[in-house]
Amino acid sequence: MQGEWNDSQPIYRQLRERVAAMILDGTLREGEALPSVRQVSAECRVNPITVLKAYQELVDEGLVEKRRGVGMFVASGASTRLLSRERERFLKETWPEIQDTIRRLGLNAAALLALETSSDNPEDAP
Amino acid sequence: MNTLSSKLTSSTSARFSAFRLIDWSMRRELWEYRSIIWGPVIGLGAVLALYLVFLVKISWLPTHSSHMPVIGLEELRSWSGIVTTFLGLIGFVVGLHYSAGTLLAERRERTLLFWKSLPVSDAHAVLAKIAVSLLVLPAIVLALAAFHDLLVLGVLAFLPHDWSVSGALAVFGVQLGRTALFLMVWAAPAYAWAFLVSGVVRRAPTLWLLGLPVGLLLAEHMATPFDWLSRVATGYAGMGGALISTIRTQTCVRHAAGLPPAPPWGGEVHGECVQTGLRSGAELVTEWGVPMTACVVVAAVFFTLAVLRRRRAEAI
Amino acid sequence: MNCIEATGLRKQYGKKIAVDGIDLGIGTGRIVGLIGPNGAGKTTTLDAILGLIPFEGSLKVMGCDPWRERERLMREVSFIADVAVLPRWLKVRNALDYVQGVHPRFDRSKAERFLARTDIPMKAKVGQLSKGMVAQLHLALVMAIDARLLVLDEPTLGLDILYRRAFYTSLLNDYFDQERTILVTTHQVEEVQDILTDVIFIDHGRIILSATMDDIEARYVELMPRLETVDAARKLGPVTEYAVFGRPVMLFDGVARGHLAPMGEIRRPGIADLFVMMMGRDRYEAPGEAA
Repeated sequence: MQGEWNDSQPIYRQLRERVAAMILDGTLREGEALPSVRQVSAECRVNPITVLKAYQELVDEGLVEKRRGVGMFVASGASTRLLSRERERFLKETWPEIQDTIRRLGLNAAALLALETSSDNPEDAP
Repeated sequence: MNTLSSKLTSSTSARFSAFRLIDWSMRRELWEYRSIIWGPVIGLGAVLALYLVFLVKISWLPTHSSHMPVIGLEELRSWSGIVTTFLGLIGFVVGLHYSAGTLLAERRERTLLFWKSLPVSDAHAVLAKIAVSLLVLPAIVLALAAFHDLLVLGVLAFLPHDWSVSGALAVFGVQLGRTALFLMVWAAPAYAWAFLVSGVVRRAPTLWLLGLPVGLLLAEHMATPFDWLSRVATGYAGMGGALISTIRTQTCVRHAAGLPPAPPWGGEVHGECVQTGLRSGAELVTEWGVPMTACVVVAAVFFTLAVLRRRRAEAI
Repeated sequence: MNCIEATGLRKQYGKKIAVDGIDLGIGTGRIVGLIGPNGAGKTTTLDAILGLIPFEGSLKVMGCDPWRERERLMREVSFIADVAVLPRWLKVRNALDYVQGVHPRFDRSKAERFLARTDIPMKAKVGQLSKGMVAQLHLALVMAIDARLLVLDEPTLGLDILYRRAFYTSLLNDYFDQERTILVTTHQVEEVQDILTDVIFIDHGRIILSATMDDIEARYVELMPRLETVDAARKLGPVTEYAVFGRPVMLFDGVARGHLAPMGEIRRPGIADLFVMMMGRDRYEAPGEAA
């Protein structure tokens, strides 16, 4: 879980995003233990309180469950819930922004779709 | 909260004895200042090397044991005395060098900040340094001198001689006792002054160590009608010389002739004749009680100032 | 119980006031950064906390008066003044011997385990080790001491980036927990800012700001507004404003992120940025000196 942080969001949010991404792409499976707070803190050189805050957020979202004295585990159904939530968020927040950008740049759906199919083929990729 | 406070109390009670703290602090002084051990050892090594050269030389000569002179107690005394004096002076120079350097070095090398990060008080740290210069160093010098004496005794026992072993041991005892007084009592104010200088100055400790007293003496001599300082200085120097010097034949004569004794630091009065030498060692303490007490008091004052100074010392 | 509690702490050297009446309350389990320019009073404050200098005002560290009870205090507190203080003549093994000899709470096996993970040979003298290794050795000694408070004064000065990272990784992995407190000063603020739970800005011997990182994150937002929103953003009252590539950048104190986000790019200001801005930019970025 190493890597640099960007400046636009608080670190605990970024940490939360990273764990969420790991759950989404299956790196962390349901029922699997999250790395310990100490481990994440040391690897990322972030204070443990920040890590706890990120984990707490995941607990509040129901994606992670705390087992007393054992640690944090990915909750069952976390992946599905996360997926639907991320979809919803994409459609609600990200998509309108992208639409804005498309409009501003004077692109249209047909041109973009054409690009999409061509980039599926590696030989044609620019 | 409860666990924290209980931990605090338990940790406060877990402390090491002053003896242990000083013991370890002395060891680390000896790790740093190898010269405390090697200085005197090299001194004795040089003496033994000289013997070796001498032995090789005389082994070329045809041996006529009947022509060998009979070695008397006085020859034995002055021989061992010269070596003991030599080792004692080396000890003093090493001790003075150590005392003038140790408190300055830890400030200049910034290691002071490491030593101060550990639970050793300044008093303990300085006491350890004092113990190195006034106990460990004299012990090393005396052990080497005793070793030399016994070596010489062992070798000479096979040659013609007219002394008894007990008489020789008594002579050695006196000499070692005087050297002990020289290195542990007489040297104390000098070392203590060196500690203080070392704790205060930023550079050139030797300059201050010698320069300030000499400057004061000169100032007194030129600017005032008094001669107190110069009398103290002469007395102090004379006392050191008397304690460490080996030339006592004259005073034996003086004593035998029934001449009145000179002042304690004015020469070798109580050297007496060697057979009664042991007693004269004890007399030294009784009759020189006042100047020796003065030495101890002056040393204690300077050492205390050095401790206070180290409390506030900062890395330079 | 706060592990450091100061009221009206003051220190004067001759006519120069190094620390000018500061109040501190540092709780257990925090990692506190003391940030300030050279000569701001950081080291003097640490010296007072460590019992190295007498001071005016009241100061209690782990319940001790540091100046009167330094020996007792040092059983509870460890410090690394900077990397160069370990004596060059000292052998690694003897360093362990000595600390074990004088510190009742030193766990030698812990230090040895830590050293086994490094390339430091036990037989070597400190003078033969690289600067980074000396720092590792010092850290090994300090981490094996079961102290409640660790004070670090420029602990990574002069170390290369790998050792600096390893230093903080070890600190968080092998040392820090909720019962311990770390107080650190450094010029490499970027490297420690994510580790800190609290920051204290100090300048001219006074505390300019003392806040938790959470507070700072919640309070301060930097906004680079789009051209059309510049005026609207200015109306929200930025604390300070400066230009990057001709575009204004504004620092807001206590304005909600949600409010600012639509106006342009928002950024969480780094501690160093924040410090520079609070101190006044002209003072710290003289012409030609700007980074």
